[in-house]
Amino acid sequence: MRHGMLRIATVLGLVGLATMWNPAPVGAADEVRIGVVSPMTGPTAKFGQAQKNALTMAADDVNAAGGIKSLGGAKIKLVFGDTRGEADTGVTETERLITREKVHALIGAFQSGVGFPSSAMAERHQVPWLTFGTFDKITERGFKYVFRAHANDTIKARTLIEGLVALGKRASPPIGSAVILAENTEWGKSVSDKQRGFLERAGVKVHFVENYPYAAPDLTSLIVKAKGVKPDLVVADSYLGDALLITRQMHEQELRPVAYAAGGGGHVQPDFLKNMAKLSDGILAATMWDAAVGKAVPWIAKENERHVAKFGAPFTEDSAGYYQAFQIIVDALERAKTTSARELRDAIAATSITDVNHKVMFLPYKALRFDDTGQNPFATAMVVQIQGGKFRLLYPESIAEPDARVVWPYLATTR
Amino acid sequence: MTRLSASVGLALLSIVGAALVPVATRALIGDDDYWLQVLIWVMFFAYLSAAWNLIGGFGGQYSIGHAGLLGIGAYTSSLLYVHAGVSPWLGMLAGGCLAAVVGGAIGYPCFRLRGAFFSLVTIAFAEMLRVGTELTDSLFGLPINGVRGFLLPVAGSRPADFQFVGKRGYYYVMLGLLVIILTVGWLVKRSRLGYYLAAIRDDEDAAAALGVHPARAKLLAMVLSSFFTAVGGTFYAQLIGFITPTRTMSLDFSVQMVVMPVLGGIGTVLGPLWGALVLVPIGEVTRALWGGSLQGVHLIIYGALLMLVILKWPQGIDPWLRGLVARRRETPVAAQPALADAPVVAARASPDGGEALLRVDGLSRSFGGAVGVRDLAFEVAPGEVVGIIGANGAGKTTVFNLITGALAADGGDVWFAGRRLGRETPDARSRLGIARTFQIVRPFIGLTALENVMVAALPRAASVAEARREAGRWLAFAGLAHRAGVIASGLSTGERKRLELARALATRPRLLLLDEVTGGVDQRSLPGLVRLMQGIRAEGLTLLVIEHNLRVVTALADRLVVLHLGEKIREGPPQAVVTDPAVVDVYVGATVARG
Amino acid sequence: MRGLAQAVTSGLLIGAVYGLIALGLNIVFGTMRVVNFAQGTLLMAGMFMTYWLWELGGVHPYISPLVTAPLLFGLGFAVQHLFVSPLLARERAREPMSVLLLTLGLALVLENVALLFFSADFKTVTTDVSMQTFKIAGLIVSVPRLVGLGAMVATSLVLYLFFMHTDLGRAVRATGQDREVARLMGINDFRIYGVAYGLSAAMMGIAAAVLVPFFYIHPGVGTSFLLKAFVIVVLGGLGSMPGAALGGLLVGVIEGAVALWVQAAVAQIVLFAVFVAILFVRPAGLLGVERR
Repeated sequence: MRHGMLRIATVLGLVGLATMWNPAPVGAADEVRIGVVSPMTGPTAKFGQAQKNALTMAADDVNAAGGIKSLGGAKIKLVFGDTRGEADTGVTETERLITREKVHALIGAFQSGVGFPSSAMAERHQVPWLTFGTFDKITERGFKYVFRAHANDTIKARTLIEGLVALGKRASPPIGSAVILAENTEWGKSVSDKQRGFLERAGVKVHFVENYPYAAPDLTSLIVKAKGVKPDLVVADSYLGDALLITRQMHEQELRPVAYAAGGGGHVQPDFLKNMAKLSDGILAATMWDAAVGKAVPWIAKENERHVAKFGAPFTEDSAGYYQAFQIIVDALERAKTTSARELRDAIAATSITDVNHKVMFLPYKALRFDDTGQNPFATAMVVQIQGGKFRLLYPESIAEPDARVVWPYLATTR
Repeated sequence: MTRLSASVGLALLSIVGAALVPVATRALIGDDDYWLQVLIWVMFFAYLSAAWNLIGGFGGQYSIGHAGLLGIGAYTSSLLYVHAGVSPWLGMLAGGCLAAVVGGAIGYPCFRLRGAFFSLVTIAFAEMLRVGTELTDSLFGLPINGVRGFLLPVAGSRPADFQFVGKRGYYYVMLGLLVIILTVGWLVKRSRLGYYLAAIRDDEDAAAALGVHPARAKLLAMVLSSFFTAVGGTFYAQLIGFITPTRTMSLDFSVQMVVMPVLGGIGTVLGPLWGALVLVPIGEVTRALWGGSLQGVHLIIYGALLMLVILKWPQGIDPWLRGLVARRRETPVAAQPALADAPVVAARASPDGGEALLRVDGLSRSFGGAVGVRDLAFEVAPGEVVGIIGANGAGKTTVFNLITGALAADGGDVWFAGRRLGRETPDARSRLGIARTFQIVRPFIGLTALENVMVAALPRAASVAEARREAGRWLAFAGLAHRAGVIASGLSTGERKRLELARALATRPRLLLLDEVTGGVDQRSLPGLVRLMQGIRAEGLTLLVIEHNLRVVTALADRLVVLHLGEKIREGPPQAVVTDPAVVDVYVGATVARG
Repeated sequence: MRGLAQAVTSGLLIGAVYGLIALGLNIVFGTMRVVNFAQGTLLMAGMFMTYWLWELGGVHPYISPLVTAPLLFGLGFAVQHLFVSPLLARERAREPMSVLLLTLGLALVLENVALLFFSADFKTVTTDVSMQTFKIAGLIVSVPRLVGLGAMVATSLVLYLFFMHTDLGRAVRATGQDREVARLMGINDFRIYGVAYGLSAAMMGIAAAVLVPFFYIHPGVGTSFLLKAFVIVVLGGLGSMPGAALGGLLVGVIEGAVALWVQAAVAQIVLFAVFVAILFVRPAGLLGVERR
């Protein structure tokens, strides 16, 4: 009997050891550890992969150039945490990165639904968290350690609608009414609410907003319903699969609005262009970053070319955002001259950059500063249009491609 | 008793050990919340799996929608806390009760059906609840934020509000919950309900034929399981502080609750714990090692393990672990000594005077055009032994199924003890006093011989202990006392037949239907079985016997009924019937042709 | 009214594809009384095969079943032979519920292996028919979906002829009615199960061929179709082939109409509510026969 208990104890002990067996988190003294919270597996894994690529390139650059100079050339080590796109896993991974991997700062978490609770964990442990994720409320909780340099849902929706109005002004026919088709997710719901508000403020009648079920096999009825109200503008906030389906079914049901716009998501992914060819011509979309910005800002184009050479694909909207977050941390480290959380946090909060050629301006704004909530009030989004299978950057004018002209109405080239 | 106290001792030791873990880790590796968090996840999934196991493992009803119940718990306590200031400790119970009602409501209609229906309904339920919650921004005027999720305010350290700083508080709460659910599982397993569920899981028809009310047992298990699952939901909400329908009620979650107990040992008390102890760390380790490069590896491992376990070790790893504890232990339950007081099988005096105990009149049943039984009529007097003979496909077993209520008749009546049977289910008819054996023996293969008979004795016994004594007597009567502690799957065919007889007798029937008792039995065991049947007959029990072996049946029966293609072609004293040329033609002719 | 007619038309057309998948699910259920959770992943496998045939070999999706159906048949037969048979042999007399868990495990493995090899990229195939539509009485009919309807009707007919008029088909039906009796009649029930499983998998090749020209391809694509197929199988009657075909159409129409009148997300709830109601009121399904 006693023998048996010993054996059980051994088994339990081994299981325990297996759990502990994550490589021991002995951070070298001259090493800065940055935690990355991303979906590395699961249905959104490809985004995590792109984010990893961008960060790996950025970290290699810094390390090759001699590390963080104010820290005696300390090297940067990226530590990845896999959320699988699930909120609870994201929270656990954040905690693991903080308590086991002893990271000095965090970037995450792509999906707002994951980043929202995960960033609260970072706040609880007082480790700086650079957000990628657009959900407004992430930075509206009175947190001290959570920052967002890029646009939130409100800014993104505002840019899209302002861009539409500005671009439509010089074209005809005008936009008088709209429908919004948004996926029934936390992002779709949040962004469609904002879009409705800005559209109505711009004097456009919004017939209806529908939050359709994500990844449905068929959306014809939704399109038929939209067709019934004859909207001038269709706004879609969709993940890639649904974006493909909606675009095809609009074509099938002969729903051809004057303008077809997208809040971001699937419509601005390279895969969308690859798969949609002709039907995508003239779609306007809000994005936070597109390679076309390189036309106006040369260093970004160079950076993107290197990325293409290295990984065979350009930066994506989100991987660019992760890249920017990384550069903000690097900049703050140089100024803080320490990895102590408190001082690093203060250095990030004190970020103030207006030089477009600074690396933090990979998403170019008038300025990069953080307000009391941790949001960058100067952040803007961009409006791109798909023309001939490519994204052309049209708005805002300050960074628009000099030779780009708006195609109006939707599918004008093939009508 | 020593075994019991040893188990309790081991359990207490483990609990104390587990309680000391946070203290030990603090001493060894400093404050390491990640470590605790992983242990919390292990215990949390062990807890959920154990809750699922009450219905899924013990009862064999595989729910694939338990995440819905988890969601009910999470949302109920969170809404009560945020909008009404009710402490989540109370909300936890409220959520549990609500889930118990909901679980019962979805379970009840399914439990009259079989197999996959329940699994499908639970999926549908969870999906409906998920989509419904995603679409609902406010409930009774209270904001729940639909798909955007519900955030619990962080109140810092407020144990009364189920909030703790750091992981230790959550760790101890979860440990407590885990101890509770494992204790509940342990108690259920040794209770009346536990035996019923085990029998239903192995063979629902056979259990019903012994008077077990399958729907009621499953319903009770589902209600318990739902309650505890929802309690886990409250814990989840408090731990994460943020709940969304998309995640909390996801199919993924439901599937995880199935995988772990199956791996650990489905239907065992500790199996869920073993499953979680293996799978949660696998998830963590693969994520830490390959999370960045190989996608979904842990899910491949989960799936492959699930398949492997089902194929190779259907009992999971629990028996293996037990083997580590007591490799050399003898058969666990001591054989019951044969009792001197041989049981009285039947009340000889019939309360119904000279009236027939069983009367069948105009009974018909067809199967999609093919005739099973047509316009059949016969009687069985109290104390009489009637044999039914006929070629294969003559409708003999169908007659039994119609009498026991396993099949509904298209037309005609069955009268039993002066009462016309209508919609009574097999278990109800068993309680009236109709017992049966099956042509292909159907022991509950997961239970010991003794436990098999206990299931039959329990519906009439005042306590589990009494049923155990009673069962011991019947086993002895059937000549199986020395095999009492053997798991039924280890019995020979002849022993299984005896077991079935003991089981049927333990229901204290007034009428016993024997379906081919000698069928498939080797020549050596035959005489013993015949002696046993004669013993039953000698006790004066009324018997209706289907028997292929004409020698056996003519010796046993007072009267024979001959069926051919569902119709009665002859009835009378055995010798007269078996020499009737028409019977010989039909019966022997078919037998010769067959083989 | 025009809107409703259009929604119903589209619903019918997509419903035909649901029906095709439900037919496959039902063959296995009808014979083995087993719910196959891996059906969705078999569809996914079929879609990837179709995709690669088109991408690498230029094989039109509508021709691909010539290749994919036999491959999937082999896969199904192998899965049955390697995994399901041993279980059924062990659990002769009972509802083989452990098979349900086994297929769940198989689905997990297949889906994530696909993720590992093909990544989470969305893929589409644009063929000559992909975007084609025509009009009848003002109603827009999508050509690839109409092909789906045609394929469903043709497949149903072939299945009907197979089950009613071939020895093998009759043996499959007999096994589904009563495994013990079938065995007594000299039918090798395990071979029959292999055939049924293979057939059911092969049908996913046809469903994939129909879907690929107008849908997208992704490792997780099977799940939403699988859940719908469950609803349809129960609605039409477990084991009933006409039930699966008509149930598919009915589900498509309900979905289309509710999505038009209320909203698409509500259609999901309505479908599951119908499903549960049918189970409670008429568990045999609309066209199913009560079984022994």
